[in-house]
Amino acid sequence: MTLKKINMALAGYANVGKSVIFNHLTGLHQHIGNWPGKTIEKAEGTLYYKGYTIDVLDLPGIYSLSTHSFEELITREYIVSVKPDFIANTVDATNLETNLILTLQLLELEKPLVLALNMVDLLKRKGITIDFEKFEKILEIPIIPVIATQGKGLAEIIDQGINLTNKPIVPKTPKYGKEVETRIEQLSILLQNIELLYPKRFTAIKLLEKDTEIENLIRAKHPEILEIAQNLSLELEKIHGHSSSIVIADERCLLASHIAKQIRTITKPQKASAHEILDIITGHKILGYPVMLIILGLMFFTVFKGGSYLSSFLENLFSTLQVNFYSTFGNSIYAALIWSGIASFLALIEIALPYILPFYFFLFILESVGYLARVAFLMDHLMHKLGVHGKACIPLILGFGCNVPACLSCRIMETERERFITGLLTVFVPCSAVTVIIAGLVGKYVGVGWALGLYLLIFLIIFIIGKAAAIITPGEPTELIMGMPSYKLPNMKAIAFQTWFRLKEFIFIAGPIVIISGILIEGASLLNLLAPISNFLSPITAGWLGLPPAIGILLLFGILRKELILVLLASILGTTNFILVLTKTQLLILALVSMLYIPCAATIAALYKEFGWKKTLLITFLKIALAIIVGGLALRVLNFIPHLY
Amino acid sequence: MTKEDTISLCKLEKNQLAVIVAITAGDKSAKRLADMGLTPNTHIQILRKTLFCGPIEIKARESNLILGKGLAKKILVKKL
Ligand SMILES: Nc1nc2c(ncn2[C@@H]2O[C@H](COP(=O)(O)OP(=O)(O)O)[C@@H](O)[C@H]2O)c(=O)[nH]1
Ligand SMILES: [Mg+2]
Repeated sequence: MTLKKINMALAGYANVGKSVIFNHLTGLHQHIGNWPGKTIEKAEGTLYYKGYTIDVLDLPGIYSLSTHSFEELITREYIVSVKPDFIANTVDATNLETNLILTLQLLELEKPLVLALNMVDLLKRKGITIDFEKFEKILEIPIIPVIATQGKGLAEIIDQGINLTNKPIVPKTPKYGKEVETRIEQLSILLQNIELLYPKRFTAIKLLEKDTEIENLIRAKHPEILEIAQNLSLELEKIHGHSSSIVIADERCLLASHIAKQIRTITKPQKASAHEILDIITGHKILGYPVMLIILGLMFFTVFKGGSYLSSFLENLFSTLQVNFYSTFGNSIYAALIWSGIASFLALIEIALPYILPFYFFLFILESVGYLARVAFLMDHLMHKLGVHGKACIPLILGFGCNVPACLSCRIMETERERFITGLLTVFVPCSAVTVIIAGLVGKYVGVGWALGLYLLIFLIIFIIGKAAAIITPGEPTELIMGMPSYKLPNMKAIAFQTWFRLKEFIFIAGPIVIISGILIEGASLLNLLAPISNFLSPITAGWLGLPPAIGILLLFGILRKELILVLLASILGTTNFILVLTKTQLLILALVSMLYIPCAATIAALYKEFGWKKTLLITFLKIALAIIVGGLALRVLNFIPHLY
Repeated sequence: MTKEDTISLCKLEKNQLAVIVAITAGDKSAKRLADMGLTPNTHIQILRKTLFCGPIEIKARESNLILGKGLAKKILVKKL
């Protein structure tokens, strides 16, 4: 029987080229979503090939099939419960031995498997040769040399996959040393007549490894088997003097190393290549930091400079649209409401296209090249002071551009705990809109030193919150552990696709809430509710923070888009020379409060998507409370500084 | 093997070759390291350090890994 519909899954380490393969195969026929209930990205796509419809899934990058992270759990659960027709295990040929440790575990899932041996173009540079035929004989699965970036070998992966789908072959599972093997057999026999989600042998091995999820599965129905397994593990521990989970991992390492030795020869590579020199400079323990500042600085500078041109171009374009809109639909209340919704959406586009798009683009380039791993390396120490590890600096850096993609990128953190702390810190990072406010209110009228002071203050606040969150949030801190990719040329096609789909995601997440809040505020304004609301807020805005009462309205609009605070301030005050109407202290307090008081609507939507309502509300209220407390305290401190008047 | 020979991974200088003797981290972290190929008897080389005791970049089984300070401290090694 030939199937016309095929399910294929790409599995493997991080940075081995899965996404490049995925994008090559599926092109624009893809959908990026989340795994149900998890904030881990799920990339699915479709390929039409030789009359087959092939659904391709890009599984998250993992280092093992244990359950150290959701990614690992998702991968193994997906493979055994959805049962893809075949798995393409993507392997970095230049890191064969460690990659093989994962391959051995995938074999244990007993599903049709092909091995896509990627990056074979880099083998020569590294002085490595691999005997593909011997490799195939040892593992007894199809092994396909691939150069994903050039699209080479991809058709063979699919052809082999189609063969396997039409005539499924369960791969041979790897065999370990005698001590372990007899115990696996003993358990497998006990598991023989039991209905299991995972293969018997895999279950037996995981029981010996004391895998908590598998233990729970067995405990529910067959506590007696669990007891036997625990005794067997204990025996292994007695023999080796360390945990049985290490004993088995060690067996796998030995086997991987044994296989690698048989098929691979390494000769010393020639003289240091340009990649290596670049690597030495950018990851240098001292030089690395200024280089990082320059690279990131250039990125921000380019994005902001280029962005402001495009943004003002779009603004002009959209304002003619507004004129056309009102001349077509008249000046009714409904027209005003509808236009406010449209205007909010257009405003979002004015951010998305000029700023978010290039930002994502540069970031994906830096990631694809391998630079972000160096940043994580250099920043790990500092990030630990905030209760998270080095990878967290990526969302934080993004946050300076826009908090929305920053929140969405918290997914790269391994655990729920790390993700939450990183998300919490991210929303305190002053985004580009806040920078505009600080420059426009403080930098211009009070002094650059004071503007920098505000930045220092926010960094101090972030530091304190990080410290506090690290203590309060339950769970252990996770240490940084990741593969350091070698520098590579970026794959523009994959980057273009990633940027495009991420931009789409941004608009889909932020769009609805931005439109709704735009209409609500316009509605409140049409019902003349704005003045009562700002009166209602005046004990805080005027009484406690010492600002003109009308500022309350600004803060409402600011929820929509923070830069509106600056734009509308001029129209409320009737002048763009703010210093005529506001004191320097008031300008400082207004900037401080704008910086702190609430995540903007789009960020709230992103927080909701990543963390759920409870945590979103918690973060939002924390920000409001901090703005009120810090703003009020700052006012009282500033009142002691007479020369501000 | 005497106790004095055994030092924490953190203490090694750049380019030093060493072999892992023991991993004193908790079961979970030890397993995580083992899954990435860092088990007792594995040969490693220090590739890069920062100004602080961590993170540290090592080469093990032909691949480059970054380890945070907390983990690096708990890996005991012997110089080769
Ligand atoms: N030289 C070379 N680079 C590749 C190849 N395949 C992928 N890359 C690069 O490896 C990096 C990581 O690829 P990616 O698909 O993001 O890895 P993933 O984490 O597995 O999805 C990118 O910079 C790619 O351009 C290849 O066959 N040859
Ligand atoms: Mg990927």
